[in-house]
Amino acid sequence: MTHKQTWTIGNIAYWIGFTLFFIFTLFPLVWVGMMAFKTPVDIFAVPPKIIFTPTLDNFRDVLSGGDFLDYYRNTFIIAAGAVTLTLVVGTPAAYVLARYDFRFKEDLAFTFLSFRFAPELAVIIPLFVIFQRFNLYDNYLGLILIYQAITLPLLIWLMRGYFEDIPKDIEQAAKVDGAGWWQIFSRISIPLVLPGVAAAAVLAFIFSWNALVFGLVLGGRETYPVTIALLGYMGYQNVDWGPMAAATLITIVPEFILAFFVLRSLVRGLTFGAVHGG
Amino acid sequence: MSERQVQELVQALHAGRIDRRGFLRRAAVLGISAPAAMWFLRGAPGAAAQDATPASNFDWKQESGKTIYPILVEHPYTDAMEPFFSEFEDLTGITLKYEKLPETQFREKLLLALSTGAGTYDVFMTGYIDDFRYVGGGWIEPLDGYVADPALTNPDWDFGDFYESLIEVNRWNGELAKGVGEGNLWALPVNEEGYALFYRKDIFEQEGIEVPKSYDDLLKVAEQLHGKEYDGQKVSGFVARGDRTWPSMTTGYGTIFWSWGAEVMDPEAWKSTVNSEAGVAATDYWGKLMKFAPEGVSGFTWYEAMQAFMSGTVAMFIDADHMAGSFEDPAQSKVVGKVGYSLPPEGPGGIHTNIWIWSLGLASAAKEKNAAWLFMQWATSKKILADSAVKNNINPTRKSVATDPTVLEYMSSWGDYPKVYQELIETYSRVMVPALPEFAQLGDVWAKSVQEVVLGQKDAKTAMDEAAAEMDKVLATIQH
Repeated sequence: MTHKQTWTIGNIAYWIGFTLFFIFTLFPLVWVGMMAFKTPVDIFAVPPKIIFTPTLDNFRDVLSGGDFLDYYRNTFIIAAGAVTLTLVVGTPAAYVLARYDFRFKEDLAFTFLSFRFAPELAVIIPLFVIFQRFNLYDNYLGLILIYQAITLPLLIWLMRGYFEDIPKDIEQAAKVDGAGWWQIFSRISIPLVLPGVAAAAVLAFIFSWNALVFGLVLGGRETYPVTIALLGYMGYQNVDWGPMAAATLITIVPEFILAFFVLRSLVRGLTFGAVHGG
Repeated sequence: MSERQVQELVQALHAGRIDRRGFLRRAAVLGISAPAAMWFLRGAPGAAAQDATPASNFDWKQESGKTIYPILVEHPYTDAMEPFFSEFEDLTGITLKYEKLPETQFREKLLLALSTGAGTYDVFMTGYIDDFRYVGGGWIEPLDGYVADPALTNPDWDFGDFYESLIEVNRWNGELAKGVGEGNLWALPVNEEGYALFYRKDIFEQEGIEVPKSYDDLLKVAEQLHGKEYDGQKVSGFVARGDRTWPSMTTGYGTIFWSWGAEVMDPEAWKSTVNSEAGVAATDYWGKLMKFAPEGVSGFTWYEAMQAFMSGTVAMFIDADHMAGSFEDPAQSKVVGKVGYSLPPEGPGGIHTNIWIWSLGLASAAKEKNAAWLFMQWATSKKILADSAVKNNINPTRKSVATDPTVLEYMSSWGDYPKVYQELIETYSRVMVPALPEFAQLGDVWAKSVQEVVLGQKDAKTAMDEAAAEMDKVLATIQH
C-alpha cells in the first residue's frame, strides 16, 4: 500500500484478521521446524517446550542412512524431467489454444484440464499393467511421462492465459514485418510471457515434488519419490517425529527457494492468467 | 570343559544353527574365554566362510543367475535382514531386487500388483487376514510341496522348529468363516503378536496390589488406581484401543469378548453372534472398564494407547505383547523397568486372545518360484530370525530362537515377558476372527456399536443387537 495508513476500525480488523490468518497458516511450519531440532524427550514434553537446547541429531539421522537421500534425488530427477518435458510440449500447445481457432478447440483444452481433475486412482490399475508391459515400471522415463498428467494441464492453462494477455497488435506488427509464426512465437510472444513461464514451471515443479500416488504405484526401489521416504518415518510401533520433521524441512527447501524467486509472477499467474484462461 | 563340546559348538556355528555371538556366549558357559573361543574358530577348517557354508550337501546354487523381486514392510524384521542380503546373493548366486514400503502403502501396492496378475513380486510379507483375500483370488502359492521337497529345502532349515500353533495359523482350507488350521500352508511365520496385560509394577507394589487374575479384580484395581497420583503424575486405571475401527475389536476389547466365550459369527447360520448372551455381557463389562480410561480414549488407536502407557499416565493396558520392545526403550518410554507382563485375566470362557503373525508368502504369478523359495528359506532360517529378534523383531516364531541365549539376554530385564509371550503362543493366542476377506468391514460396524456403549449412548444389549443386524447385512452380501 502506498497511501498513508489510517487506523480506522475496518483497517484494524483487517490487520488483526490478517495476523491471525498468518499465524494459523505458518504455525504448523514453525512447529515442524522446532520439532526438527528437538530431542525425543523434548518433542513429547508436556506442556510443549518453546525454549529448548537444539540438537542436530535428527538431521544426522536423516542424512546418514536409509533411503531418504536416494529418494530425494529421484524426486529431483523426475520433477525436473517432468517440468522440462512439459515446457517443451505444453508452451506451444498453450500458444495454439490462445491464438488459433480450430474445430474442437475448447474440447481439446478441456481434455487437457481433465487430466488434472481425474482422480489418479481411477486410472492407476490399467496404467500399472501398461507400465509393466512396456518396461516403464520403476523407470525415470515412465514416471516423467505419467507426471505429465500433473504438470501439463497446469502449464497449458496458465500459459494460455498469459498468451491471451499479449495484445494482438504486437504480433500483427511482427507479421506485417514479414515474420513467420515460429518467429512470432519464439522472438515476440515467449520473451513477453517469460515471467509467466517461470511461474507456471515453478508451480508445476512444486506439484510434482509433492506427488505421491504415481510414484508409489508406478515407481519402485530405484525411483520412489521422497514423499515415500517421509511416510517411512511413521514406522513400526513408533513415529520418528524428530527425523520426520528434519526430513520434511530438507524436503521443502527447494520449494521454498523456487517459490521465493517467483513469488510475484506466481501470484499474478494464479489470478490473472487463470481468470483469462478460463 | 571338554574338547568335544567345543567341537560341537564350532560345527553348530558353521552349520548356521548359532551365530558368532551365540557361539561366544555358549563357549563362555563352557568356561572358555572369548580369545580362546576365537582361537578355536580361526583354527577350525572353513572358518573364514563360516556363515555361508552349509553343513549338508544342499545345493544353494541351483537357481544361480536368476533375479527375484520381494516386497517387504518397513518393520524391524526387514531392517534386521537387509544388511545380510548380500550374503544371500553370494550364497545362492540369485540377485535380489526388493522393495520396502510403510505398511499402508505396502498393502495398497501389493494388492494392486497381485490383483493384476503381473508377477511384479515373487515374495511378499503377509498375514493370515490378508491371506483370506489372496487365497480367494488365487494369488498365493501353497507351500507344503516346497517344504516336503528335499531338492528344494535344506534339512538344516528345520521346519519342525516353528511353533506348531503358528504354522496352524497360516493353514486354511479356503472355507469361508472357518477352516483355519486345516488345509494348505500359505506362508512362513516371521513375527508374532499375542495380547497381554501390562501393568505398572511400581504402582502395584506401592499399593500392595496383586496382578488381577479375574476380570472382576481387573475392574476393581482400575477403579482403585484411577485418578491417583504417582511420581507426580495422575494416572488412569486402564487403557486400550478405543477408536471405531476393527483393530480395536481384535486387541483389548477382543481379548475380553473372546475370554467371555463369545464368537463373532456362526458360520453355519451365517449370522453375527456378537449379541449373544456372552457377547452382551462382555461388552457391558467393557463399558464399565473403559470408564477408567484416559479422556479421549474413543479416538485412541494403538499409537495413542501405547503413548499414554509409555508416558506413565496409565496403570494397566491390554494390547500386543511385543510392545514391550518399545516400553523398555529409554529413548521412547518413561516406564522402562516399571512394567509387569502377565497373561490377560481369566474370563467366564477361559483365556482367549487373537493373534497376528507377519509371514512370508510366495506369489502364484511369480516367475522364479524356486529361487523365491530359496529366499524364503534363507529369510526364515534360524540365523536370520535369531539375529532379527535381538533387533526388536519380536516375538520369535521359532522355538530355537525363543530359547536362544542372545534372545533371552535381550529380554533379560523385561521380567516375566519371555514366559508370558511363549505361553500365549503355545496355549492362548489363536485366530479368533472369522476367515473372511471382508472381516475389516464387519469389524468396523461392530466397533461403532461398542464405542456407543463406552460413550454411554446405548446399553450393551441394544448396541450389540444393532451391531449384529448391521453385520448380518454385510454378511448377506458375501457368497458362501
